[in-house]
Parts: sequence; structure tokens; C-alpha cells
Amino acid sequence: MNDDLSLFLQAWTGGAEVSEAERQRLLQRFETEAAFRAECVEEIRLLGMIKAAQTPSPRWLDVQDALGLSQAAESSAAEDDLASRVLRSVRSESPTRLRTRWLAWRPLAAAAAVMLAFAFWWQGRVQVHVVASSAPGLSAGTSLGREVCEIESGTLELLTDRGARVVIEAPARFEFLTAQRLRLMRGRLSAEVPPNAKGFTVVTASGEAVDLGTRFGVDADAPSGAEVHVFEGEVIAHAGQRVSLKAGEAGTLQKAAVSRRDLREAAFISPAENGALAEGLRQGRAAMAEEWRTRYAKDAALVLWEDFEHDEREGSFRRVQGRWPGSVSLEFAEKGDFAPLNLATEAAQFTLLAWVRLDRLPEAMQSIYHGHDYDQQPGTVHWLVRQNVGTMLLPVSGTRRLDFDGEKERDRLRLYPASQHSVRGSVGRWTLMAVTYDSATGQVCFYQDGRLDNEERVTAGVMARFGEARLGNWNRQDRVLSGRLDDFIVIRRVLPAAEIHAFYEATKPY
Amino acid sequence: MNADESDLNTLLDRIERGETDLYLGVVRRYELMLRSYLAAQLYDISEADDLAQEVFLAAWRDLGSFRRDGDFGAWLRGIARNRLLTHFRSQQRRASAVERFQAEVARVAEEEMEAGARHDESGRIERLLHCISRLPEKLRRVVHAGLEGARPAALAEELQTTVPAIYQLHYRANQLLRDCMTKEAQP
Repeated sequence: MNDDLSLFLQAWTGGAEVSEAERQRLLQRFETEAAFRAECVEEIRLLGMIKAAQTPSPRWLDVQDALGLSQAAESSAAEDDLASRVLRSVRSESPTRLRTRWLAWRPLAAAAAVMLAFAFWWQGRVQVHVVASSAPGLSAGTSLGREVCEIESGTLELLTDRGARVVIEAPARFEFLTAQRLRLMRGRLSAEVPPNAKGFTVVTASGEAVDLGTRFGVDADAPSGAEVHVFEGEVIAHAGQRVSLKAGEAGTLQKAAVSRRDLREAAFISPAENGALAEGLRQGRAAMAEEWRTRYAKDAALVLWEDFEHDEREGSFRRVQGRWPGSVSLEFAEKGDFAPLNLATEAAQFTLLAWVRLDRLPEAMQSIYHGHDYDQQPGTVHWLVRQNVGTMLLPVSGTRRLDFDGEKERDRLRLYPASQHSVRGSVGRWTLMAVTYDSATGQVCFYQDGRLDNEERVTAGVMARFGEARLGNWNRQDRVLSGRLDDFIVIRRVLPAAEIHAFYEATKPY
Repeated sequence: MNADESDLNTLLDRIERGETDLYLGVVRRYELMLRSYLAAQLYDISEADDLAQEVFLAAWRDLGSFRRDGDFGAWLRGIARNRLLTHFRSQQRRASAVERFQAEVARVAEEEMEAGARHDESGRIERLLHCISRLPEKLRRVVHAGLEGARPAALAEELQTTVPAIYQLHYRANQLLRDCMTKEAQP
């Protein structure tokens, strides 16, 4: 872009200071040079189009008035308070020129009647825009009305007429009852609600969440009742009782009560992550990952590549979306959640790889893989994320770090090899965790997102044993992973750093 | 006469026969085009929307004067140009430097603006939303944020760059958007 075009746009948008002398010079050039004028017009036309496309249509209240839309509609018990909610919403919003001109001269009682009529008329006029979609059958640029929608895979990013931005994750079933009321029958969503859409409500089978601004999530499929998680601002959770949930708080709607629970902000896909996932999909990342799976299927050293797609195992977990639309990951969220695994094998060398999406780093250890009988069976493997610190650990029973000094070391966990850096930065996004073990040399290596993080030495000569084990927890139940596990891989050799890096680059979703 | 024009004339006939509610259908059909046209001259979307409402009201009151063999969109834009002139004149004394600049640009480029809007076929603006969603994340953030007021400076600080660089990024995004919309329009 040439300098004058840039200056012109800065002067025209007002986003930067441009001197009066420069403005005059630019206007002179704009008037006398057709090519420059054409270039500038092309840019500002597109800027105007973007502005209009991204901003919800206003409510054409004066047009409604001119058309004389003032007939009263029949009311039902369920909608008795609709008029008062609409009026409260109108009063609480900053008046715009569109609304104040209309309301300035009408008595409030008459205004209430017209608003009631308008609100009932408006109910049939739901128009929600699909901004981005990886759900088959629903593409960006289309609109949804008042209809039940069901998506089995992918995510949808929606924009309402009032500017509320909602990301719905499959599998999900939902219906916009009005532009401000969304019934979520199945699935989970995150919402960013601007002041103009204050009062945006998500209705579930066990209660509803009324947003007072600005960001929150709702999980309609949580086992104990729909969960509401407030990331920013405040939400009124309504289930028999009304409870105010503020930023950092979460609650479960249980039909007659709202009970507090831990926040799991990173369990919800935000619009920003949704965009990154959609871009990854567009780049063909799912197909690239599948190619590598096909390649490793021919590797004699492969013990397990579990993608949970056709998984029939029992346990306590939820099947939710994995890295790709239509893929499956296991979600471990509650204290006793786990998935059993028994590989019934031994390995002198191994590599473990796992695509993990952590919700948080709680004040408890989180177990990715946990073999039973650690104290009785040498070589039993545990793969953990350490509490608070967030570093990875790989205790293998019968081994210890060679430079561990039991007499001087106060931190007993330093007995085990650990990564150097925390996985804290990976909370709320898919990250590849990997670890290698070589019993011949005692070398243990940790990797995060394809990069070698740390290398440690442990006692050599201990064969690793993969017997009865749990994914996502251990047998005492209090080391729940708190997140999703997609693609758990066990290979009976030490993958070199370059191969792990290439694996990461080929199988990452963003 | 194409199918869309025939369909619009049917709508206008029914409105003239008393089905006034149907005018909202006309509003819905042309609102995105009109708002884009006005935002391309004012940039401030709330001002553009206020003027768009005035245009729709004026069109409603004067519907009988629209020639059925004419281009309804062009007719609306004609009303919009008059409203814009009035808007700029009424602001003259108290207008900011930006508003005076916009007014002068609108005056000089009136023909180019109309020529460009005439070629905006339906669906182009819908394709734009889809194309925005496909932009790389950094460019999408710039496009979402917009360029008015303090936004470029705030975004520049967040992205640790300069305000001119933000304009450069938006220019790059616009290039990608045009390419995308052209490709999406191809059968």
C-alpha cells in the first residue's frame, strides 16, 4: 500500500492524526487524479461493506411506527413477563437516536403496549447470522431463524442482531426462541455479549442463565445439570432460586437450586480459538494427521494409537469433540472420571504421545496415564502433570533421577524426571505432550508441542511395564486430568526429536 | 425483467393494495446494501444506520413515485445521496476534521460510489462474512476491530506494532477478502 493511500485512509477513518495540510493535499490529489481516486474509493467501499456486514441490523423502530404496527397479540402464561423484560431491557440500554426519537413523546403506558406488540412481532423475526462454521450443512454467510438446529460435528460461530457472539460446539441441538433467548437442548456454548445485547439468556432443561455482560459458557450436557461458567462480567443463574455468578465463578443448575462448582473456562471454545480451528481445517490439517496415522500403522513398534473414535470402553468420562469436527476425545472433568486401559506388554524403550486440552491446573496432580501396582511391580509407568507447577513427571517404578540427593532435597517429587517448563501456557488449547524412555541408557526426554523441553537421567536397566492402567486419573480417583484427551499413542522405541517435531507439525489442529 | 425485479414488483403491488407489513420485507432485502453504501461514506455505522432509516421512511412515503421499470436499489441510493448532502450541510459548522474530509470525499466521488454500488450483486456482502471468517487470525482481528477512533492505536499496542502497520494489515486483509469474494462468486 502506498503512503498516500495509507494517509488517506487514516484521515478518512479518523484512526490516526493527519495534519490539515496533508488532508488538503490528499483531497487535491483525490480530486485531480482518477487512478488515485479509484484506489481510495475501492478501499473505503470495502471498509463500509465490512462495517455493515459485521454490525447487526438495527431495529427499524421508526419504520415500524410509520407502518402502524400496533395491534395487540394474544398472550400466554409463559410470555406474561415478556413485555416487562423488553421494557427493562430498553430502559437499561443507552438510548440511541433511533429509539429516543420514537419514545420521546409517547406516554409510557402506550409505549408498553406498542413494545409488547413489537416484541411479539419480533419473536417471529429471529435472524441469527452464521459467521463461521465447520458443521456440515451450515455455512458461513447463511442465517438462522426461529428453528431447531442440530449439529453432530464441528462448531458454529453465530452473531445475533444485537451483536451477541455465540460459539456452539457439536454435538448440539438448539433453537433461538428470540434474538435474545437461546434454548440449548444439547451441547455446550460460549458467548460474548456486548452491552447492546445485555440480557441475552440461555435456556436449558434445568434452568436458565441471563447474561448481564460479558462472557460466559453453558454446558447443557453436564451429568448433574446444566453448568454455567462465567469468564467475565456477571450472569444470573436461575433454577428455582436466582444466584448471581460473577467472573471466575461457576454453578450447576439443578431445577430447584443452583450449586456452586469449579470454573472450567478452558472447557469452552472461544470465538478466537474457533477461528484458528477453522483455519486449520481449511489448510487440510485433518487429512495430514490421518496420513501420519496410516504411516505409523505400518510401524512394527506401534503398540497403540487410540483416537477414541470407535471406542467401546467403559469408564467414567464424556465423549466430546476432538481436534477436528466429527472426531472424538474423552473428557475427564469430575473427580472420579477415568478410562481403563490394559496394554499387557513390556518395553525396553518407549515413546508416549498425547494430544491434550487442559481446562485448568488445579491444586492436585493430573494423571494422563497411570499404571496400577506401582509399588509392587517394577517398571510400572505413571505420566503426570504436577499440581500448581504444571510440569510433566514420568515416574517409572524402580527408577529414580541419578542426581537426586535424598538427604538434601526437600521436594520429594524431584525423585522423578520432570519437564523443565510448565504446561500452564497450554491450558485452553490443544497441545501435544510427549515423553521418551530408554532403559538401556536411563535417558528420559520431555517434549511440548514438538519441542524438546528437558532431558534427564534415571536408573538404567528397568524394563517398562504396561499392564492394567487408567487414562485421565488413577485408581484413587483424585488425579483427574481435567480436560480432553485425543490420540493417545504408545510406540515401543524412542522417537528422535526431529521425528517428534515432524509429528507435531503434521498433526496439530491450528 | 429478471425474477428478482418481478418478485419486487409483486411485493410493491401488494403493499400498494394495503398489505403494508410487507414493506418490512423490502427493508430486509435492501438494508445491507444501503447500510454498506452509507457506511462507505460516513464510516460511523450508527450514523449510517440513522440515515438508512430516514431513507427507508422517505422511500415508504414516496413509494408511489418509484417507476416500476427502474432499479429500486439505485432509487434508494438516490434518496440516500440527498440525505447525505443534507447531513453534511447540517454538520458544516460543527463538523470535525474527519467529518469535513468525509464530506468532501463523498462530494467528489459521488459517481464512483454509485457505479461501484450498482455492480454489487446480491450475495456479495453475504460472501464477505464467510471470507472474513477465513482470514488468518491476526488479519481477522484487525478487520473485526475496525479503524475508527482509538481502535487502531489500541490494537497497535496489543499487537506491539504501529498504527500505520495496522492500516497496512487491514489493506492486506482487504486484498485477501476481494480475492476470496471473487473466487466464491465463481460457479
